[in-house]
Amino acid sequence: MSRTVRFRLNGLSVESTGPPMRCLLHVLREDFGFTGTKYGCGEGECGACTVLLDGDAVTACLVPVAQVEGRDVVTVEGLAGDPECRELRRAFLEEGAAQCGICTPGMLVAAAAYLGGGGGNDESAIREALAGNLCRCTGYVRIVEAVARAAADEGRPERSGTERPASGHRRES
Amino acid sequence: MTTSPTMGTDVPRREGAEKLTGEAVYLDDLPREGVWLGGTVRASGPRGRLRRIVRDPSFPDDRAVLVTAEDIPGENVIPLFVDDQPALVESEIRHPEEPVALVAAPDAETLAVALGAIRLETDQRPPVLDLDEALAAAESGDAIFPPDNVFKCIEIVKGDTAAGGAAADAVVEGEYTFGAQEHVYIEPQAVQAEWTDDGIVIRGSLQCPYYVAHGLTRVLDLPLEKVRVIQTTTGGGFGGKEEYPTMLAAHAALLARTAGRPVRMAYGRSEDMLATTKRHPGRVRHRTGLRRDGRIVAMDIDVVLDGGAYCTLSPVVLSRGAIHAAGPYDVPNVRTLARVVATNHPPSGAFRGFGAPQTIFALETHLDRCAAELGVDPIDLRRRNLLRTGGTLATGQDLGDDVAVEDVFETALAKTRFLERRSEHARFNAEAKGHEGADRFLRRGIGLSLFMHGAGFTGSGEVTLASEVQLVGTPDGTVTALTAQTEIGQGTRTILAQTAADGVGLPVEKVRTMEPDTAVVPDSGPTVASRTAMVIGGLLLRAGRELREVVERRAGRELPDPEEFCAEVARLSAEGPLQVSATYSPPEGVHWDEETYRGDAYASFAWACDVAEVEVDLLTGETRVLGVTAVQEVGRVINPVLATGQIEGGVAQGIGWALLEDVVWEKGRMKNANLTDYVLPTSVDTPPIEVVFLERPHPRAPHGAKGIGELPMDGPAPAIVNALRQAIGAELSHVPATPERILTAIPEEEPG
Repeated sequence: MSRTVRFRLNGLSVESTGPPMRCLLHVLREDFGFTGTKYGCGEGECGACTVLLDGDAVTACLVPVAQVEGRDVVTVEGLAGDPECRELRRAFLEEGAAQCGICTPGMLVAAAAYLGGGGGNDESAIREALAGNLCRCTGYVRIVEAVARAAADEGRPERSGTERPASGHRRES
Repeated sequence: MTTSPTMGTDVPRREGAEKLTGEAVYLDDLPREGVWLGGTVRASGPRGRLRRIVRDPSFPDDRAVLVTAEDIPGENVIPLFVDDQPALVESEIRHPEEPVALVAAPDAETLAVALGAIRLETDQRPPVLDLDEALAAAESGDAIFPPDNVFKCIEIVKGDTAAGGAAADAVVEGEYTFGAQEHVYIEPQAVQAEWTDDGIVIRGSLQCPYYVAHGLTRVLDLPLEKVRVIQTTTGGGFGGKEEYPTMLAAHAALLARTAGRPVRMAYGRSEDMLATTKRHPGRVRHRTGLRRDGRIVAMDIDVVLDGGAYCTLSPVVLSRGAIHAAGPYDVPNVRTLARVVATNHPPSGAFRGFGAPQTIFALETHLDRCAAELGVDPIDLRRRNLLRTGGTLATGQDLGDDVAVEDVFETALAKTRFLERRSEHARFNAEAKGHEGADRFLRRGIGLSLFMHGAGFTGSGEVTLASEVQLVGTPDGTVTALTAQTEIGQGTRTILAQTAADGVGLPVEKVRTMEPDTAVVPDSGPTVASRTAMVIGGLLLRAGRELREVVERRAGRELPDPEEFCAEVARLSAEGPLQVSATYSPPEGVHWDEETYRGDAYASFAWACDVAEVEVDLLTGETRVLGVTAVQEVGRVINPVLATGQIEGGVAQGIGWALLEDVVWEKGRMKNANLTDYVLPTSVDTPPIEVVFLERPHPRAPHGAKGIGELPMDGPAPAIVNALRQAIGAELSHVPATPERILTAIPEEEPG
């Protein structure tokens, strides 16, 4: 069975024709070439395929494409031009929140959903918001710090790029 | 104007920007046009004999290809220490995930149909899945790995344990067991193979491009120059992409050869968890003689690891485990007997820490047991036995004053206010029973572990490798570092650029790093064993200094100004090749005897102390880790942010192994091969982690850096188990200490 589903993808109106139960992850990667959305487990546990669906973070591997009819899908590529996300990416880079990078797009999307929903820099709230996204490299510490920093920065996009907050590590001799 | 050093500064991750926009290209992100997908038919039982591979008439012959062992042009072997593992089963089946046949098709749907059309006829026989059964197989004459099922046996002897034991006031025994652990790099294993006029080209998610290249020369019967291996952006490795990619690359290459087109093999999560290597499970038995004051006079250690069906890297995993088994203590009499045995489980392999986390878990848990049985404080017991300047490790190694174990220990105790916190938890636990509501079931504890990790390859490994790096000038005035070292998330690209830049005396922006491609880069050895920063960083520093000498000599003057220096590099590079190389030479005065396991196993060690605090719910058995403090001495830190990330990530993996990550076996097969049933720590399971570096430059590395990557995996499990001991008043002698195991361990009288 084949159906045509129409939705908005990263701000553009698009349509996808194929089996309606095909998962959004494959549609995004194979049909639209948005390979920033990653496969990690295929059962909604790892969060590497997290995208925004009408502003909420969802795992694209569990969403049949039929479910996005008429809705708004944003992938990590779609966050590129967003000024708030630029701050978030800078925080990720400078805090060392990305290591191997495979969970990073999903993590950024989840963080963007959290911040977009008015989330602040409270550590436990951030940890709760990212609990659906597995990272095997970082132990989450730098990711949580990066999101907290981006939350604290909101409304102050003019902040100097050279200014560095204190990071978690300590050096002694 | 001269350049200030970049080592010691937070140079941002080189490839960070592309990873943050989704632009970084991982293997499965490569274009799919014209590429077929490969899949694997696996043995159906843990042990037996293959009689026949049956191709059902439903096999789509016009749109799929089948490859079996008969189609291998070279040797049917995935070479490592012992050539025991075939690329595809010919007759003997030794574990349930053994690859028997391969299929490729243009798309996933056809591939599934084709795989379903292949049936195996086999004779099954009873498997060997238990360590004692495996050890007994020698007598039965029924070994998986002839003659005795032992891949490797190591004995390390210092002094005389019998005589030492006779002088003891008490002897404490203990047995500690540990489960396998899955790497769960978030990007599953993936490679793509393509035949060209120049031979085979492999692209893949992998750690060691030259391992793959050398392996394929034998399977495909090609000279090395006809095998090209290119690493694509790699979504985590942790040792899991050290040896297995050779298997996957061989499979993809065989399929591509038969299909006549490029073939991609990208494992799904479940297949990856089932078929690829894991951390060696096993057991360690301790028998320790102590004097009344806590001084250890004799240690008898018996290590048995489950290597699975094939040898892979088991001998060197065992070696590291055995050398670390007696810890950072100066004990006069030590005997360590270590064996890794064959079973019908899928092969165990390299995983961050490489045998050391297993033996360190056993020792550090056992020391708290010794303290409890002797009635001394575990802190005092450790303090009494610490390795200090002039003392020797179990291998007889005297590190002179390159010993920081006392520093990390005392720093960790002071930083965490260990003794006060312990008293506070004792008070909390005593009072909890009187509380109302669910709180009365909460108990807290604090524990620590003290450990070291040998930097780089064990023994003479680096000498055998003779790694080479190159620095090349380019006409745009920059310098390019050529190494086979792979960026797998740990920051290789960034820190190698930093060391090269400091060697030449240039800003780091003027140094580029070449992606590992065996057609271009020299063989600087594998990206394993925490060797990259120390060994390859050191070589690049040397090469950098030499490049400056060459450029200044040819310019006829000193060029302290980076702009002038780069202009000269541009001028010389335009004239002809401007290139220097550096090759590893062992530091002076390091001697290792592979036969007796005596001497300097490592040129230097990193030292660390982890302190963990936990809260246990006696009703549910759940453990919440309240915090971990990790104090380590890793020599000079090249990039503090990246180094801190290494420690934090390693601690999180250690927490997973300690509490959550339980590989459940059924007839040799992983029963919970998915991320719903195999539980990884999430952001809410992972506590705040305080990382403290004490930096004492490595005296035998030109830039003072030691290894860092594996060290943080070693300590969390015993620190957490020791904290659990205080919390529940019982010992957990097995990791992972899951809620079920904790509930079983809680003493009957305890719950409030």
